[in-house]
Amino acid sequence: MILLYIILAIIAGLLFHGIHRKVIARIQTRPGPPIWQEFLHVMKFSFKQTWIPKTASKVLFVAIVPAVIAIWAGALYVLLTGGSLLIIFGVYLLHKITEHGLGLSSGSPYGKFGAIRSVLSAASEIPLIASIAGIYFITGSLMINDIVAYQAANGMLLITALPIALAMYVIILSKVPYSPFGIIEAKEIVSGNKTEHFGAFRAGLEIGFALKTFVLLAVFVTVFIGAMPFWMLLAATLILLMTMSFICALTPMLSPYDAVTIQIGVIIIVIVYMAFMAVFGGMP
Amino acid sequence: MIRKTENTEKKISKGQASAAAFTAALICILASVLAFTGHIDGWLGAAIVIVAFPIFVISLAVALRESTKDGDYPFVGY
Repeated sequence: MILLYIILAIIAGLLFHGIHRKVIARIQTRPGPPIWQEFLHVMKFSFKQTWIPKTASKVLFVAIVPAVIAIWAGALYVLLTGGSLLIIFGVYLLHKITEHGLGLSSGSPYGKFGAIRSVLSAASEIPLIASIAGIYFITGSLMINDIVAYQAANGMLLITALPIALAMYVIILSKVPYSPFGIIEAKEIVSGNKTEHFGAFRAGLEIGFALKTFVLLAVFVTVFIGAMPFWMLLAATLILLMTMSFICALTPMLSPYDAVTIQIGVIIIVIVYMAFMAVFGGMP
Repeated sequence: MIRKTENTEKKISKGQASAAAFTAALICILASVLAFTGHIDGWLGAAIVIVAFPIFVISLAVALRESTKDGDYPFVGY
């Protein structure tokens, strides 16, 4: 069944990217592209000429694309089977490495700038660590099944552990397209680490990133709201994404320095919250 | 100094890419069916799909772009 879920997640992710763009456009009083635009992009890139730049590291340039798809397909499997959040965290770290490798593989200066910014934005991993540690202290487990069971007995973590949910929200926000934290793809460096990947490789990347968006949103919904039927999960993830669309539409792209500063600020909020909970009760 | 990028020779033919896409798709379907019917463990089926599926995606896209005819590429627009 994993194959079916991967295909469904890719379709949902591509559609979500299209809806995300549409919502941003409507907020900015533009008509925006149709919501199926990302499907058209993938199809268009599939029919385009594909070649590897002479300056590229050929193996890395090609292999990084299936790697992006594979790691997020693995994360989807972990989520569906109620596995460990630590594995999802590991996949997130691997994604950082793929972002970095993607930029460096082409030899393009724009790609390299994107890759360097990817390292800078590694600060976003620290809120993720803080968030996962907070979940462990509250629920006593990092298994998604246990976290879901905890919520069934004690209520949604979204309400009982709001600062931790906020930290995870910022992490996911930093990974959606057109994010104020999306410094690795900022327009002043063309498409950043994706600049030289086009044609068949870009089509593969778009599919991998769609999978990533869906998995991250679904992880948030499952970990902070609880288990639910697939159709309800789709609705919840879409609502979550649309809240991010508002932020993306109304917030300009942050400078790398500001992006990192805000992410560190989120860590401080989570640490203060956990210290408060440890002193005044609330931890098991 | 930034080196100028150039087109490289096409190394993979349409037939090779199509064959790779077909094989990867077949592996994905077989692994899913075998896992679903209990002939192999679920995690093993998932692992096979996770490895084979990206190969299918890239091979399919490479097969699609490999035109053997002259002329423009099909445009998928609004």
